[in-house]
Amino acid sequence: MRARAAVAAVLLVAPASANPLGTYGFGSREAAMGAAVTADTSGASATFYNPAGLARAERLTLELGHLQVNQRLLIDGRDTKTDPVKGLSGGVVAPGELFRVPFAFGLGVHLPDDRLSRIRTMRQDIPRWELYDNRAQLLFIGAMLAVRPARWLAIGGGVAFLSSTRGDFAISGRAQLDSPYDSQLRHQVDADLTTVRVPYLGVRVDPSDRWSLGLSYRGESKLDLRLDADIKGEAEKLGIVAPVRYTLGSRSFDAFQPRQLTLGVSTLPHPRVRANMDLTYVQWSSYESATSRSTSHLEISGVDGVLAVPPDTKPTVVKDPEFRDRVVPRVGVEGWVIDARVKVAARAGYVFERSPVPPQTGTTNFVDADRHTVSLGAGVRVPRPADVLEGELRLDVHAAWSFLPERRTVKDNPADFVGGYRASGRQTSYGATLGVLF
Amino acid sequence: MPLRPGIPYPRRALRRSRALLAAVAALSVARAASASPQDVFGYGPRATALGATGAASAEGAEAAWANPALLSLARSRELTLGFQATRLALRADGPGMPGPMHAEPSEGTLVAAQLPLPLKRWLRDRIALGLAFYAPTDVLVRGRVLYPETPQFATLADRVQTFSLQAGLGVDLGRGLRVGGAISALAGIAGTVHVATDTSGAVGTKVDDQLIATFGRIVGASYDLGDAYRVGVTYRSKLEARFAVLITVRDLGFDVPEFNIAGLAQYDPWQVQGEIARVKGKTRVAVGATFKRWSSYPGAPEPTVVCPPEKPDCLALRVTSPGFHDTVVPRVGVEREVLADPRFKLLGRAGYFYEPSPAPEQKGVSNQLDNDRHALTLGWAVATLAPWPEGRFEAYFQLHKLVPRAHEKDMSEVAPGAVGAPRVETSGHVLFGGVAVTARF
Amino acid sequence: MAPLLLGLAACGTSAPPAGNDDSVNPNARLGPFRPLRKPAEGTSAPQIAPASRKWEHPSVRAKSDDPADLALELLVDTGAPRVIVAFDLAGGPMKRASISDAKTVLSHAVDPLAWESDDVAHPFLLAAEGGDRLYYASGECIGVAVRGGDGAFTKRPEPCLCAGGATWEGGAVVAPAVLRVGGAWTMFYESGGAIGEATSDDGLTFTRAGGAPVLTPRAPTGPLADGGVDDPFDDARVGDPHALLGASSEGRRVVHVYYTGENRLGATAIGLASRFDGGALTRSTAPVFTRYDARGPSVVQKGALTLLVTGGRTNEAQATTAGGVLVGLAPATAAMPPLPPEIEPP
Repeated sequence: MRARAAVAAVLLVAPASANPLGTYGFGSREAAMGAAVTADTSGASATFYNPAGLARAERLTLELGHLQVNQRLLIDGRDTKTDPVKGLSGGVVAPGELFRVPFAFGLGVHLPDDRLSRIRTMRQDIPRWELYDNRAQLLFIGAMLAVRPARWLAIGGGVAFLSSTRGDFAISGRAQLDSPYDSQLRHQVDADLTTVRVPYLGVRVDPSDRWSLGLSYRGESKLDLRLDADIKGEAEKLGIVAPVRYTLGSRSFDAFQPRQLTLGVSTLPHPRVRANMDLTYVQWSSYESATSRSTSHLEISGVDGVLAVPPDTKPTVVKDPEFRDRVVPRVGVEGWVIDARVKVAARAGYVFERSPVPPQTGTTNFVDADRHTVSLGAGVRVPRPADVLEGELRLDVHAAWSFLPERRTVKDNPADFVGGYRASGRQTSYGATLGVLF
Repeated sequence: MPLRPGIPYPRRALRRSRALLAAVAALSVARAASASPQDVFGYGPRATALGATGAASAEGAEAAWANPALLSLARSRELTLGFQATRLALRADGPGMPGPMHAEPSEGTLVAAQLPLPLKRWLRDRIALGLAFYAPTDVLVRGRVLYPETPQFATLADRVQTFSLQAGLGVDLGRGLRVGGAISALAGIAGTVHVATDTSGAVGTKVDDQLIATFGRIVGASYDLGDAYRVGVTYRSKLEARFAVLITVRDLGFDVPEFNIAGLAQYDPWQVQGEIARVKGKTRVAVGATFKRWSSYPGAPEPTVVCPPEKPDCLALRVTSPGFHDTVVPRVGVEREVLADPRFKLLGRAGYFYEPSPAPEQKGVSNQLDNDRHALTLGWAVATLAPWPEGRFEAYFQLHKLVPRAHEKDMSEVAPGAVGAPRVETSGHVLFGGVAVTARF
Repeated sequence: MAPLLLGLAACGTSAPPAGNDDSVNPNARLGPFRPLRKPAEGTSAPQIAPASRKWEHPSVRAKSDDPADLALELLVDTGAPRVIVAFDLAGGPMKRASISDAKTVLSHAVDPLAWESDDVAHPFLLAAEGGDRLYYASGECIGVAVRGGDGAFTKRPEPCLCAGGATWEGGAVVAPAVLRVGGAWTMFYESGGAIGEATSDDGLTFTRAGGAPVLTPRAPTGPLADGGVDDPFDDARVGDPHALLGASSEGRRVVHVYYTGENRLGATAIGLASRFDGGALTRSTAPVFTRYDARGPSVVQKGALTLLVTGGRTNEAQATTAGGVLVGLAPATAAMPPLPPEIEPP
């Protein structure tokens, strides 16, 4: 008997820049203050929150931290086992002067412990926590530059990098359907990880020593996954050789990150107290559904009575998710409770994120709920910790609790296959960041 | 008779066995090796112009690749931005061969930073960080694992379209001894494609694609022989990126095996580079060699069907070692101060290295082509000094000439009509160049 | 810095199995259904009755209230003239039933009634006080038989519902499906390629509800927004209703009606339409079972599983194999309970 099968598959994952930092914070100081730091950040975290802040750095700074987020996201009281988020965060800030203008270069990195990124295709009617599922499984690498042309003005910008994937896979050889592992098959791969760049921009204005204003912009990004397969050849089963053709197509988006514009203010109402507030406009209305559009077709001739050939699936009609834009308020406070040679700060923050997901009364099941986040943290500053280090040693820790109050979904159609459900959740995150200022 | 797409298998068991043996033989010599561009050209404006030397002579952030110990020479913060491009003109002539081989041009940006740590007292001017990054414009990693009979310069064509990222630290231990270490990063894919009945009751696909990082280690040491000379040695561990997609199909009404679509997309062998250099004076010279452990290369393809534990002797095709051999690459580089002024300096650079091919002659059905290469390198730099803003403008260039090579097919193994039979001749050249600006701040 | 570099070198380097277990997702257990998987869940072909004779219009009823007990009583009509026969199906993976397992429970020949024809078909079995009720179609009418203490069904002399009561009906009324909600009885039936509804206080004599069918074939809506073509699976006929009582997530009572949908090419599939109390039937977004040219659904819910028993082909690729009975499972990602160790796989 002879048979031949060939598979040609194209896997394409296009733009990608999503990251967990917007959801859980970058740097323990920033996370402890509810990430209300657009007008008040100058370390490696500035590469994410406001690159203009890099120009406020006075010393070469190295930071390294770890973030751990445990999620308990429930649907009908059952844990959906959404992946935890954990990874190293850190970076380098190198200030200096260029043409006698204060200048800084910053590199910020978040490296997930397990994988750099992950995307999954999903049908739109399968319930999933749309904002917390795969979007947090992503790498962040931001390379930023900042200048400070005037004492009161800093401007920064740069790009965040990630990778996309594009590839062809092919299989050929003899497929043995009665004894699959005796099939003599081989394959070839033609796959690329392609470059993706997303713009980050920021401005910081310091009208006085007590007040700072910040404005930052982050570009939009998403992951695009496309799979096309074509299997052609002959299959052998029970001594019958039959021509086979199998085509498969799947395309989806995932890990969408909306365009964001943040206005922040920071003030010193007391020499030992700093209060920050951010308002972030998040353009969720341009959200593209993380829905796979799948088609498949199998043809096997002359196998009546031997093989049961499934019918084709109908092409998916993707519905507009109709997400809504939102404005996210963030507040944070920092108080220096010990202001001696070694300084100790206590911090707190609060964030309210209204769900951008409309009521899921139809066939889609994008699960989400409003999110309240309360954060606490502490920081220690040790100037000149050793003879060899003139700068400062910093250690910041934080913990945050997010509450997603129960949201009920009721379906208009009583014949809905999923039916109504209740969604609620808790997220606990904690981390620490060690910084060295040289 | 090799496995070829579109060629049906013979019905008789005997003929099928012959085909199977031929297929195994074909797979056994498949070796679509792809390595990083820094392994092909070196890294950085200066090192690439000096014959890809650097184990004893590297300066600046590019030492993160060449020898991290030399990062400790840094005394000022520097940021380098550059652009570089590669053009390949490769030929494969013979029956069924295309003649000029298609090879996509490659361009990319180079970003590097040198950051000495401003420590005091006994640690003053002793420790520095280096970040060295290169990103092709379109592609971060290109991985091609083609059928072995497909004519391909896989050891060269795709290697130059891979991003490289090195982060290193150098320490000056005093008395002329320096040590350093760095990590070098690549990325690969681990994914699954699951075709099965989904919750809709229809056969659908579920794709899970994960991008995973792979890291290699670089460690180096150098020792100053007086003021003018230095020796250096660098060890780089193997660096490989694997693409692996497991395709499972269920509920079609019949059983099909799991398809293990996997292979090594990128592979740098572990290597040791030794060098001695004159590092002082108007003329600086570096001479060295790199040993590359290509014999450890396992081959790019992996079995498409992996025998399950309960059936270890299944008839699925297996892959064996491609039979690469170790190589030694001699290098030399010269840098001369051509013009000196209180405000700037003009430096000329030149170098040469000879890269032997690790691949054996293609006597079977396989057409994994590779040649020895002569590489001539050139470059120049203008360094500005105070009171001008301190920095450099550099240009670099490499010409690789492939030594013509003939592959005589063993006609007892290869069918007369096979691609490349009875003889394949390969030749070509590679052009590589770039410009970079470095600012001190 | 060494720990930093080592730490970095450990990141992002593994690809552990993803979390996000789909099986915990909410599911109304209404469908879609998938055929049983061989060999763990059923026979090599998914039929449970032999195809040597035409077995049609299955009706199943759970034999116990234990959600883990999948033992079923299956009724089908067969033969010429048609009679209603019963099978006892043990729980666990479905085994191919043998013709020797069949037992005739209702025929015209035994206690013939004047309004009946020679054929007794379209069984629908319902548990009730005073004995299980077997609704059936014969001639132009729908009748009912009640199971006595000896297990035998005794026909009621008067039909429950006969043709001619509504202008939309096109001849005989067939395929009864009866629901009992409190003290009220609701019957869905087929006539003229549409589904009608009748009500009763005693479940014996039914009165039509309204003057229109509750479900009719769906006409295509024209080009879709994405450029595709609307191609209903049930634009020629809807029939063979099977009614099931359920509740929405917020506790509202819902009536689900599974039905056979037939398109203008004669292909059939199983559809679902549901309604809240007092509302109109609304179709689900897709048919619940499209394989094997299925027709004549009967549905039973057991624990977290819903089983669909339907007529159809025993071999999907061969039209000549129509007349078998096969089983579907929902949620499609669920699995049948494992086979008890003392039972060999089918």
